Amino acid sequence: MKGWVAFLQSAANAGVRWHRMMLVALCLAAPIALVPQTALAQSSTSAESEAVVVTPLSFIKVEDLDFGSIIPGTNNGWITLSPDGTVATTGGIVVLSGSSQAAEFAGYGAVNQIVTIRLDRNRYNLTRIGGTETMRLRRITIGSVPPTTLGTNIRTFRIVSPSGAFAFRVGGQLRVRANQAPGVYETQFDVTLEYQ
Amino acid sequence: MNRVGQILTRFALIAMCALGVASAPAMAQTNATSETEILGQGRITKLGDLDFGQVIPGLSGGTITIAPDGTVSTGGTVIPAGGSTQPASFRLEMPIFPIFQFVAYSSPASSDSIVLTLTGDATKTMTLTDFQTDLVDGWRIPFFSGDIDFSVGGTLSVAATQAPGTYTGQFNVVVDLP
Repeated sequence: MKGWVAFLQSAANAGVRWHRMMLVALCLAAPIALVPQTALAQSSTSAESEAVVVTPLSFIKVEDLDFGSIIPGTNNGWITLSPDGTVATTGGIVVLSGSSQAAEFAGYGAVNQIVTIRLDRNRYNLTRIGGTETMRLRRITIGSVPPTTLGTNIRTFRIVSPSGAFAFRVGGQLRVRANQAPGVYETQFDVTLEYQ
Repeated sequence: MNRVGQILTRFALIAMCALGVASAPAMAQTNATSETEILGQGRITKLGDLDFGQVIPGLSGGTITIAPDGTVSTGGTVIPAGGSTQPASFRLEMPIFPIFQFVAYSSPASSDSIVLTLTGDATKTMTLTDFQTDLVDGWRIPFFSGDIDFSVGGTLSVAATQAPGTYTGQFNVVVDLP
């Protein structure tokens, strides 16, 4: 008797469990199956519009330097994000495709005008938000022709666009340790541009 | 449990589901998601944003227009200064039933307007209006037409003293499938 009750008990438990799974499955399905489906007379989506206004002698940040979503490799390594957006890595690091973005700046001078650009440092440490772990950022490169490394030394460039308006991208090299603590790392870097 | 009991239980479970079951399962459970999308009558996916690139107001300001085919034109002293200009582009997918589906572009229309605000200072704005599209209203046979790609352009007003910087705004694109 006892054995039989036990069997019933376990069968009931199994049954309850099954029903609970069914319950979950039904709940997942409910929004489609149970909510009366209104005839969709419209389809819609959202889009964004962007414009970068440059006024004489202005200097604007258009995009931040974003190395994207990173999976550390088996060894310490570097991510090289070029001004043109291409990504190369060492150490087996994986950067999720499409998640990175070179920095972009814009300004407006006159054709053939000289501008100087410098940074506040040559190398930076990105620090984990909510922690103390860091990642080294070096070889900050401007997408000039040919590409040039930016730093505390002043670099000189000539505006070549006929309108005098210009834009340039900036990339860099980021060090990622094999045991890099997960999280969001960030830092600020200052770009000083002077119209001559 | 006998058959009647099972059916009753299932109905009871469905009813409980609709009302919202509050009790948590006693067993350990992992969530898994299975997604099925029922298109209803259509879905629009955005392929690209409406991008004016760099814009120089010039002495008097004016307007810059991007047509659905990508042509850039200006009014006043506005100079398009480069960067990537593109009309917003979208893909409309429709299920093959009903066989005949009327497609009518709804919004944003030429009389609609949205505001682009300066990153970091929402008091600095530009108005984007006179939306144009190359989606032609009419009957379609989804089975033959497949996905329909279309573009939306617009005209941006730039003041003479427009503050420099990156301006962004959002808009919804709606297509009627009555």
